[in-house]
Amino acid sequence: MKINIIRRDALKYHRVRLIRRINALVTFGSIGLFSLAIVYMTSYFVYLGFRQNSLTQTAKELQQSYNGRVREVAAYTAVKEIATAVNNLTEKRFKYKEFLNGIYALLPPAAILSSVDFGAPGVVVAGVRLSNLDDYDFLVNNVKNASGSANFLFSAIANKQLTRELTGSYLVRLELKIKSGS
Amino acid sequence: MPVGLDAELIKQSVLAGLTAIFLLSIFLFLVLPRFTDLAAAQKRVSDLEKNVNSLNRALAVLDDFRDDVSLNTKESVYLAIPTRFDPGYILLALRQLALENRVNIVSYSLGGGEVSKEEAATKGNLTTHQVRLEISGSPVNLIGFVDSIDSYLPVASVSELALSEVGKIFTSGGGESKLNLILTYYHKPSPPVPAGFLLANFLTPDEFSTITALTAFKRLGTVTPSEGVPTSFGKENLFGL
Repeated sequence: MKINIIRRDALKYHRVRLIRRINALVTFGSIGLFSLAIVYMTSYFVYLGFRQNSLTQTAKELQQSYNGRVREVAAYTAVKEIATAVNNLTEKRFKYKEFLNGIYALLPPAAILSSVDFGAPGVVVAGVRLSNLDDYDFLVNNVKNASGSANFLFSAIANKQLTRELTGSYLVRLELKIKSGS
Repeated sequence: MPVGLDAELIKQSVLAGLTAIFLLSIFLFLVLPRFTDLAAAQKRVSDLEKNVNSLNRALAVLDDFRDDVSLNTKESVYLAIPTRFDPGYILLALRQLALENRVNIVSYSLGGGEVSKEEAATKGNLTTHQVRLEISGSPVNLIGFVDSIDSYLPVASVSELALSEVGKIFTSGGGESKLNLILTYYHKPSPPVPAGFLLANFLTPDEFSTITALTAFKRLGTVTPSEGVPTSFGKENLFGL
């Protein structure tokens, strides 16, 4: 029986070499990784320390500069608050002139707008003086035509009263309901 | 007990393993906890950076404010909603406005000094003051008066409006009408400047426009040509149509 001594030695040699390599990898790998973590951590700590000092100093200087301008800050704050308040007020402002123009557009040429009352919310009561009944027809016709328009400011118009005065003129009392969103 | 090469290998392997275990233990028990400190330091730096950026921005905004908003503009803004209610000033302003629009102030009623509870109220962070006013004049001038209020300082809102004729004068050619209106004026006591306020709350472009617009508003002492027009009847030029 023949025994291949050379092959057995070769196998053993390979195994030894592999174990040695693993040992070297474990040893130097762990040392390397550990050193890397230490170096990274230390250098990052040092960087953050410097950065923190630098920023603290800058923030201190800026804060001093800011504190020295406290009057400007107060002025800015006051102006900002007033501008915000004025904006809010302007948004909520009722457009009296537009509504008056809207009512006036309905009147016949010879008519006189004798009274306008915005007292009730969402409703305008207007008194119109007319010289004759033809003007009244004209007014009614204008109301009918205007009601169909999309830009018309009122959703409904009611003729509440028509009276003939001693002077011979006619007084019409109109109640105009303001369109929501106008 | 193995001897020779095997013994050396085992020794080497044990040494490598112990080294790895030792370093891993140090890493786990000594190095890893320090990462928490690192994160905390990083957060401190990040907060400082934010603070520095905010301060830089605030200072830049203050520079712009100083350059862009003139003293005259600031005066207009402060006058728009003053820090205290001054009935005397408001009355003088209304008189000037009436004069400019050629209307007459028939009566007025406004709170002064210690304003009564009915007259002063709070709207948001503003204190409101109602001024009841009765003026007479031609309809076109009366409406001109109402229209002028929207661009006059201090800022006021028309709360109620009623236009009516004065007896028979209107029909007999006098053209006099009467206007009853309630104006709401505002005042806002200046609050103490909260620390850090400016670091977050800057003027918006809309507010900048408002500030600029307020400069164009008329105020007491502004010399302007009379805007009233002679009394007229009919529909020709009433309300600017």
